[in-house]
Amino acid sequence: MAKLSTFTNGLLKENAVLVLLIGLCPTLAVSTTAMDALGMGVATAFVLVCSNICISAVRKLVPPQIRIPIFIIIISTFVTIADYFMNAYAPTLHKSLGLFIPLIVVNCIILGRAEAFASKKDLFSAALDGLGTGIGYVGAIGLIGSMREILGNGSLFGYKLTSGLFSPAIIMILPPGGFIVFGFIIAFLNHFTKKEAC
Amino acid sequence: MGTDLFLIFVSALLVNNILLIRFIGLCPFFGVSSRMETSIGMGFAVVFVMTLSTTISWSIDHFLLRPYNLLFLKTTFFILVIASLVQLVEMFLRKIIPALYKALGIYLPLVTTNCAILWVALYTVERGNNFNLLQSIICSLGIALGFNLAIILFSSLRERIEAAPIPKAFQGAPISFITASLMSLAFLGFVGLFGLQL
Amino acid sequence: MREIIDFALRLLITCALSAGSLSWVYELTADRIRENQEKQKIGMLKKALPAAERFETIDRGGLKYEAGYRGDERIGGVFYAEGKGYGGVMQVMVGLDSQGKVVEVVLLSHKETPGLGTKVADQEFRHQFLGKGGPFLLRKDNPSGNIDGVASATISSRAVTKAVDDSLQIFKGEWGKHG
Repeated sequence: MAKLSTFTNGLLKENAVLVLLIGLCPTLAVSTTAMDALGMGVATAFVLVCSNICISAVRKLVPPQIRIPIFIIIISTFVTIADYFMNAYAPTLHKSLGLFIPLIVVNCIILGRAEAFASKKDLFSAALDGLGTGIGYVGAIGLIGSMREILGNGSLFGYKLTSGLFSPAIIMILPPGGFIVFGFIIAFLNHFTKKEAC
Repeated sequence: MGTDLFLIFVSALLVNNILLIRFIGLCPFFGVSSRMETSIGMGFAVVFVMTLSTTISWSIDHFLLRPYNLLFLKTTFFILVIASLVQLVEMFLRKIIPALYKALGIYLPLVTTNCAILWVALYTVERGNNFNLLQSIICSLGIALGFNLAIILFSSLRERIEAAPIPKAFQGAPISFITASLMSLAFLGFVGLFGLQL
Repeated sequence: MREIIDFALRLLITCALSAGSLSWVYELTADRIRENQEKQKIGMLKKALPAAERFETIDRGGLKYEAGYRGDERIGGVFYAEGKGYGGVMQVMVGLDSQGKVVEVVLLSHKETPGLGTKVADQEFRHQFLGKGGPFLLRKDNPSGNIDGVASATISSRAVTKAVDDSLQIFKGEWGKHG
């Protein structure tokens, strides 16, 4: 039972992007289409799970004074792996995500999870946490990406949806749109969770 | 040569402002900018770390990675350079300007995960860009100052917002994002300045 | 002192493991990546000159283009040109047959506004060039022009028109030389 909550925590209650408000940098920049958003989400989730497992596995061997550099090296290794595999097996996605793939290494979520959780818990919990947080991340970034693509381009995953209904607001795909969509999503969530927004 | 550098600088500072147009470096943007003093302090740290790390990273790429076909180590090298520089800045501040060190508190190590710093390093060595060392330095300087500009403007706005009557659901993060989107809209107006494009 | 050596050693081992695994992944994916790039390049070239079976890069004195062959016959070429679009440089690939008529116009890269400037890639705008030998000029720039730009995307339209026209000039220079 305790294990299940580890998983669902990252998914909903402590969803990285929507609740904790971390890991925003790549989220807003990449989410101009649903496809890019999902690609980025999956890549990040991959790095998250792998590095969580790896860091948990070596947690007894890492002296606290040098833990940050060691974590960084581990994370950047997985990021580079994800980068090269994406280039080999999903070249179009790799091209549109561009420099943001290496930027996964500084995604606050991954280092945050490593520091707060993976370095202190056993392998299985760390893996679950990584998975839950990762899927939660994919969901959040996918949501933002889909909304921006629908509102800004009238399409979803490249399929034209609303061509007849309304003229898409290009602004949604440009930077201001990202900020606005995100702001409204958070306001929406706040309204329903009655939380004291910090 | 001079106009070349000038254009790179203005493009980095305004037209392609790293925070408001490119969306990069958001984590500290929303975290630090609630107070003007911390914003300015963070800004200085960023300028220093960014220009220095870009210079070092560019050199590593140019003299080590490219000639010896070690490009797959780029991400790891670059992030380690940044992490080390931040450590140095931390030690330096703690000894020489302890007041600033205290004020920045947790935000100083957070500079390490500042997406913007890693992004600039990666951007200036991007094959498509072909920047030489001087261009890289000017570019990173422009970007760092653009970061400062955005963050200082934003923090002064936030101080005002805190005193305003905001609907409950929008308090905190949502209204900040919407404010940021308006600032972003404003900065989009710079497109076309000196013929510069997005 | 012992502590520092211990730390340094652990860091070194981590770095070595990291570099080792990355080097391995690099080897693993290098061929596939190179293949992808080749395929992509040929795919793009074929878009501009579908009738060609293979391409030969002609690189001479600053001029670079692809000559397209079917069997042993040179049936045309693919030329690269640029135009200053709204969001930045637009890179265009123009396929020309041996008579200098446009076979196809392919937008390589651009930063135009999605939904507006990107419409220059649509058939509606492009077909004005196809099968013709130029010169090409926007009607908006000159009443005797022969190309209608995309509504609200004059800059993008002008950039592409200029790029196609430039390719024709290059072609005339080249083909004129060896027929």
